[in-house]
Amino acid sequence: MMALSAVFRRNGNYLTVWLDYDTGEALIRKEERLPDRKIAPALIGETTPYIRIPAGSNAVPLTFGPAAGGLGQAGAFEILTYGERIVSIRPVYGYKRRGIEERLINRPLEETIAVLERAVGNFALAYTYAFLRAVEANPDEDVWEVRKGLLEIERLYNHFNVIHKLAGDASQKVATMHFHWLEEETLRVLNRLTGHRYGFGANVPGGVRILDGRAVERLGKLKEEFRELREELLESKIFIDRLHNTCRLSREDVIELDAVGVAARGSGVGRDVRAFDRFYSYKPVTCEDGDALARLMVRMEEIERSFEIIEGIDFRALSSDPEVREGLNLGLAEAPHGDVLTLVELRDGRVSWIGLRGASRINYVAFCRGITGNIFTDFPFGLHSFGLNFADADLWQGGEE
Amino acid sequence: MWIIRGLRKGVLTSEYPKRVSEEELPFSFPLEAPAECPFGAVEDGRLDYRKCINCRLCNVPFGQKTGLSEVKNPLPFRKSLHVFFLDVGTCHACNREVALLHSPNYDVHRLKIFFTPTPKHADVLLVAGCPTDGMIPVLKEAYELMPEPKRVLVLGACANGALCGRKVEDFVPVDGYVPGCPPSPVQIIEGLLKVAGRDVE
Repeated sequence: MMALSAVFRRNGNYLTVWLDYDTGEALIRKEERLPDRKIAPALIGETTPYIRIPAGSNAVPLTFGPAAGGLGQAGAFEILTYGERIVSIRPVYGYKRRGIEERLINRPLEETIAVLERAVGNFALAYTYAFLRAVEANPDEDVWEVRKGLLEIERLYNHFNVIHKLAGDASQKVATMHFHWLEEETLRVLNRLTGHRYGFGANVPGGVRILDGRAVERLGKLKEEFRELREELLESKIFIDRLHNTCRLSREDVIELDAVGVAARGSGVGRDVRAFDRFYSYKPVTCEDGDALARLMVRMEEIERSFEIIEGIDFRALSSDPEVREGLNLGLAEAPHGDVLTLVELRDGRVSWIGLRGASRINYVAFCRGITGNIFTDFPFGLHSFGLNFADADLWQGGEE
Repeated sequence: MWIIRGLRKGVLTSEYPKRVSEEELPFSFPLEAPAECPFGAVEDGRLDYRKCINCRLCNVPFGQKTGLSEVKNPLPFRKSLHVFFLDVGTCHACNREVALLHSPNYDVHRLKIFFTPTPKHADVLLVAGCPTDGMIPVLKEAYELMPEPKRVLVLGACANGALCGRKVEDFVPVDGYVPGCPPSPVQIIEGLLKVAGRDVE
């Protein structure tokens, strides 16, 4: 079945992207009306208008954010509650709309990539991967092998960050510090490897910038460390109990809300761009339960897979001279939290129009569905198990709103 | 056992500000002033580090740099410094770097720096990102709520108008800058120590 992946506004019409995650078939349609999918308003508007206050309810609305210490980022949630239980909740988008995306247009490609990296910093390697997939007509296999490796390193540090946060929420003070250390060490490996802690400037048109390819050898030690920590962490009943049955998302919810990434895979829907990406041979990791624990288990398993993929890659600086694909093209990449999508129109070697869609924009809505009916203390566990951020959710949808 | 594991690992914390190791700094700062910059960081042949986004597109050698942060009128708070972090429109990389200040690798508590969840308890407002329409009122309000004496420290190139054209200093008075895109944790600590009037050498 086709999932609605993105909606962009363009010349008074809607440009919709439909994706079949089983075959990798993508469909770009021009439509006059918004498609009849639950997620469609959230993809184009700033909020999700379909969450209603139940009639006769004595619940009070509460806005959490945008400067709340708990979120640590500029974003907000509107919560309907009568003290303990979350009756209804929706994300508020728009606090991070920086207009940075307009600066992607009509400049040399290397500058476009430099700006794109700064659209979402912690998923920069995924966005540049998707962008270059859309732009390069005859990609060089060796270059893409290295780009794939960099994307997996990005997945590692983001997954470590999620586990660190979940352990912190459950007051597992020691475990949370160990995982924070793992995140920092992975960033240092990336720094040695590419010269930048988040890999900015590593993916350049036609090539990859690698300073010291031997830096990845240090990941071997981190892998051993991770395995020991995982065993120890999963033995903690207190930790597991906090995640079990928290923020449950059913298979039907995932299909209905077109959820992607770890959120979908944690509910048994194997939506993963790597399954059909030509540079990967990969079978998605899934878990059936749909709760925060299931998403954690998916991440734990994906960390193992990422280490495996990285081990087989020879990281070295490479350059090639691929042809640039003109016209409207779609690029996809599986970022740590879900797939990111770039719809790029090139004219005379420059970007003339671009639409970006981050998985956070979709998955925040899925999170809201999952956390409804839970109590307040479950909120951080649910939120952090998705690993989303508002910079990713607030990307420009290709035109005025 | 967590305790045994912790003991076996030994001390992981950085020796900064006594010493800075090569591991802790990014390799992406231009070491010379380039002739021109596509993002407007070079004016009259001089490189403004506050606006440099470390894109490495210019044709000069790159490497590690410290001592780039500038602070005017530091606070006399040598014993403890309370910081409120406010994101006004970042790409999330700055948020991660600020969060990493609490990791065992940096552990800012050893330097008597503490983060507070409200500006009412803060001495320093740590601002990152280019101010968006939605966050400008929040930024102003957070500044108003802080008790005197207060200082504003700005993080990263985009808070200085590098990418979006808007600067934090257009909306609240700014006392210090930490350059970098994103600034590494060590560079953020350097800026905070300078705000507290402490020696970083």
